[in-house]
Amino acid sequence: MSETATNEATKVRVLTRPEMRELIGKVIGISPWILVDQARIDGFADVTEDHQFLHVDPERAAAEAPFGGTIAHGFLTLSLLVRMANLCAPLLVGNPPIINFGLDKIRWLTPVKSGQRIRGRFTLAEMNEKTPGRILFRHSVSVEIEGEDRAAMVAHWLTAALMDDEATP
Amino acid sequence: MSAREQVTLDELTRRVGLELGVSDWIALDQARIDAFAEVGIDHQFIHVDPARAAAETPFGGTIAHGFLTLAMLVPMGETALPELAGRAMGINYGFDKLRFLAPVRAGRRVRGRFRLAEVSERQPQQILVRYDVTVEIEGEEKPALAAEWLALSVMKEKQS
Repeated sequence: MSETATNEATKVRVLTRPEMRELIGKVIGISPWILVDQARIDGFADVTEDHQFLHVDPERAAAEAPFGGTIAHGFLTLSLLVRMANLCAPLLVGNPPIINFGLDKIRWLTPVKSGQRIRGRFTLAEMNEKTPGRILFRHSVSVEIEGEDRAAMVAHWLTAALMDDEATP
Repeated sequence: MSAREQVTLDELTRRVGLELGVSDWIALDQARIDAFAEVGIDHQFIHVDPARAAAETPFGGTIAHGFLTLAMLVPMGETALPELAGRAMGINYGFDKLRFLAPVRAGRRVRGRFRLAEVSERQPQQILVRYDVTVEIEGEEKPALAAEWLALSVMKEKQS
């Protein structure tokens, strides 16, 4: 993937294709906790032009919404999946480029309150090697909120590793 | 502030199957991409390092994060979609299917095209709307993304 992955995720495992294949159906990583504080929410509101009061106005959110204050944008929680994966998901040998292909069945189940910490849990659901030069992955992901039973979000995430087939075991 | 069209639930329901609107263009320039990299903690070089991206990718430079393009659906909806009269707040409920189809090069403009697929009352005072949405890239045939988006409108309590 990138220097980001290798520099920051120094402890992630590096696997061959057969080793990765053996993990199908298993949890392959749980990320460290990531803090979603009001500064991050405000920054996300600015860059994505979504200043709904639920996200950026603590007083009004406390008064008019049932969450006791502001909550993170669902798209912020989703966007942090890349970071979470970089921190915990095993890499393939050779660190091939990864494309974010899409997602199926995203559901935001529980709001993430400003100041809470979240982490990603990644299960390798499918690994498709039928197309030469690329490996298609489907990960079942769930974003957990510290201290809460119910997940913030669940989704199936589709990615593709672009393989230099001769060079990768 | 806004000239957004207000519609009742009945009026909205009559538009199921129709295109609801096309948003204004929004520029995904390098400044926005860099800001997104910070807040989303994704500094991969294909997004933030123009020289290296030009040298090592087929895109001629940097591209926007897919999740940035996706998040712009919210402001796109504000210029493309009518507003349900009596809405107290909008909740991003989910997506059934989402595909990133083409990269958005830094500096390109994108816009959202929304078709109303379904309107349902999930609970009293909660209206779930399903949009078929595509994000178009100015001057390009292939859309940046196509998705089935589910948005929940929580309605104000009726005085009775």
